[in-house]
Amino acid sequence: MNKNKKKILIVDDEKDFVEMVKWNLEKTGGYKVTVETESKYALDVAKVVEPDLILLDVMMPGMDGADVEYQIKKEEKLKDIPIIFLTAIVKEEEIESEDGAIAGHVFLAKPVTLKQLVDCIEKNIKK
Amino acid sequence: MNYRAIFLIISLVFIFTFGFFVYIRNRRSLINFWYTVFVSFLALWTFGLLMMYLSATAGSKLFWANFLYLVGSLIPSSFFCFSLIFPSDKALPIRKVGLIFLPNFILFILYFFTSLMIRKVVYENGIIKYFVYGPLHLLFDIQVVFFFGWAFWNLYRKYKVSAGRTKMQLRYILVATILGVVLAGTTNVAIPAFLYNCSLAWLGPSFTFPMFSIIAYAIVRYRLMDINVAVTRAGIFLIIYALILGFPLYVGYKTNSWIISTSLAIAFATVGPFVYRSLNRKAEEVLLVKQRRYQTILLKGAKGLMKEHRLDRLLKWIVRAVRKTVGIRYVALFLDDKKNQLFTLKTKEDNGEIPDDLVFSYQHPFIAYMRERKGPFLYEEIPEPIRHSLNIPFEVDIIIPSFIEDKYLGFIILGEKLNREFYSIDDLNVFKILAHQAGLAIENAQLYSELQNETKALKEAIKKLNETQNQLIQSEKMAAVGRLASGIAHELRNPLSIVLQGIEFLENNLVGLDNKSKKAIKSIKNSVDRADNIIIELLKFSGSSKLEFASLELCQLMKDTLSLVENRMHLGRISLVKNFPEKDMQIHADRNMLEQVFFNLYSNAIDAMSEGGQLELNVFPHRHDVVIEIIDTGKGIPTDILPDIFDPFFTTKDVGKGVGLGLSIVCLILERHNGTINVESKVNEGTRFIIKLPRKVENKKEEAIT
Repeated sequence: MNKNKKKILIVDDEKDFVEMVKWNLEKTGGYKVTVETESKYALDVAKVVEPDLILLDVMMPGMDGADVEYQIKKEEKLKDIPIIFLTAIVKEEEIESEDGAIAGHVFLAKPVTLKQLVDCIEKNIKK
Repeated sequence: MNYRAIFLIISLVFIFTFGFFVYIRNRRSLINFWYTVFVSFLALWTFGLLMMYLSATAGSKLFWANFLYLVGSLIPSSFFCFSLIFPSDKALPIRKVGLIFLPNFILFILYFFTSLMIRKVVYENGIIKYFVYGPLHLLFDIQVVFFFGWAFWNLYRKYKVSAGRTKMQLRYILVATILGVVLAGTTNVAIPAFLYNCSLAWLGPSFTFPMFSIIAYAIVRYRLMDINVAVTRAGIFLIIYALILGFPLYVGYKTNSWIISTSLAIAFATVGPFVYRSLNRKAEEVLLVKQRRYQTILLKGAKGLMKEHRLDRLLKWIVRAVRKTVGIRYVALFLDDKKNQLFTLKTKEDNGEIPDDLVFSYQHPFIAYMRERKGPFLYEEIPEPIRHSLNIPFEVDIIIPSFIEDKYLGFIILGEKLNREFYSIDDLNVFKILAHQAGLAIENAQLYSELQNETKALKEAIKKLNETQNQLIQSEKMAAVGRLASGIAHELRNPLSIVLQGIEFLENNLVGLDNKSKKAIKSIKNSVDRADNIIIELLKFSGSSKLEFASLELCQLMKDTLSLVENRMHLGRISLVKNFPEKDMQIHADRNMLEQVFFNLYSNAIDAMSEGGQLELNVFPHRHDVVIEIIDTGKGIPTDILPDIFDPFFTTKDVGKGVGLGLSIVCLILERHNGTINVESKVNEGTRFIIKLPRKVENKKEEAIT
């Protein structure tokens, strides 16, 4: 494993989806991807992995994306990690109109192509 | 018995009847009262003459001669009183009356208690030859000339200053006075006074006929006929009764049998009235051809009134028909306005003399008087205080109230006839019938229009109910679809994401893919795209997006949107017609949303004109709104599906070409702008979409105006 690879954490309850994204991102050769399908463990995983960027689903059972973000932002160690929200609801034009951000949050609308995902990650990840 | 006596009896009956007749016409009127006093003295005078002729002894002849002259002196005095109160109808003070009749009292003493007036009546075979007058008899002549002269002067003065109808009445009276005074004055005053010859005195009473009949006509004219009719009637009456009375008397005189003469008289008197009536009718038919003609026309017209249901036209017809056929200066019709408790001027035909806003309140004494009268009546018949309270700036001749049973519908007022003739009693009878018919027709028309209004209101209510119901159903559908949309979007997008990620993984991971596999992968990716587009549409539809209202120039926006479809129009050989107002319309709206609306509608129009055509865009203001019409000459929308086109997921396009949300979204967007959209369409002719949007109010001042 290459140390230069960026560490990405994906939190999403759709098991198949996270798996596909993991495969696709890792296939590019630039990322080391960790997945978590239960939002309540997201914080613990993040603490262990200390990812460079988190892809966070908005709508999840139990804790939703916003709750997870709140917990992460509370942690001194984790609070500077950029987060990209994945959503099935927010409309394309809203994302585009605010340059991908709503109220300081970055959103990506599902379904998302690999290219869109990589572009977005590269734009927001800590250099 | 001689012909003189017979003639005098006839005259007596005639004069008395006349006086009585005029008096009972209007017992409250002092004019009628003094007229009757005047005529009564004429009758008494005739009676005196008769008695003088009939009396046998010299003494009784002298007594009746004195009586004759005394009564003769009362005629000018009473006429003088008449001249004072005509036409004002104001009571004379008792002292004044006393003063006027004082000379008569003096004459009474002189005639009956002295021989200074008439000394002797000279007669031969019962026939008066002449009187032998005393030295003071000239006093009688002075009294007669003085009072007649003064009365004439009074009337003449009033004639000079009066106008209109009163002037006409006075003219008749003056002419009558001259006639009577000259004729009777010659035979009974001048000849006996200067020629000592009484041989013509028996003609005197008949010479007063024109005078009192014309005066009667002048003061109660509306209850009589035309002057020629009055004279004709009087003439026929006279001839008939002269025959009835005269012939039996003549026969009796010749045969010296009172039984024959009496039976003849009874027989004649029985047939007399019938003969009189039939002759009268014949004479009137000849004399009143013109009047009869319009009366017939009006009565015929009245029968046709019921056919007209439109109140306005009905009223107009009544007013016009009466005015034109009779030839009247003006006609005005007033109707009961129950809401305001008024009688308001509904329609009129005039030369501008009647004010448009003339109304009479229910409490007006004039209205109360009409309720009392019910039938048509003359202005003169209205009692003075009520007439005074009328206070109208034009002259009324006739008032025709219209009653249906006891319901008072309204009234018509008539001005004078253009030929200045007076209205006759027949006219009034015709108006009475007309008023009744008109009343029925008006009531009919009012009921009809009420019914129509109610039906219309009902229809409108039902239509509105239906529309509201449809709108409710529509918005309920929209809301349901909206709720569904966000749910479906979430549920569909996750599996779509997996498909997309999966296929991309496969694409990148499999090496040496053949063309078919590559194509299959591409098709899968396109399908995901398509599915996602549907979801995007649905999300737009759910209306969760916020509107950003701003002031916009509508026509500019429509033109800008047009540029998006220009190419398609060009390719599809579609021409463009724009009817935009010179000054652009300001609206308050969300630019993106409206662009979407117009883009949708333009696209639909272009799709409908697959074989070329014309796209017409009209923009014009309407009240507070701006109306936008988008008209195509395309294939049109069949009537059976027209109500469904705004429903979500309704589409006529091939699968894959449209989701069926375009017009629903248009509808939704316009709803959120407080606008509406309607559609009219004919198959193979084209479709017209009509949009209404509220116009932007520029400032408060304009708001106040609109």
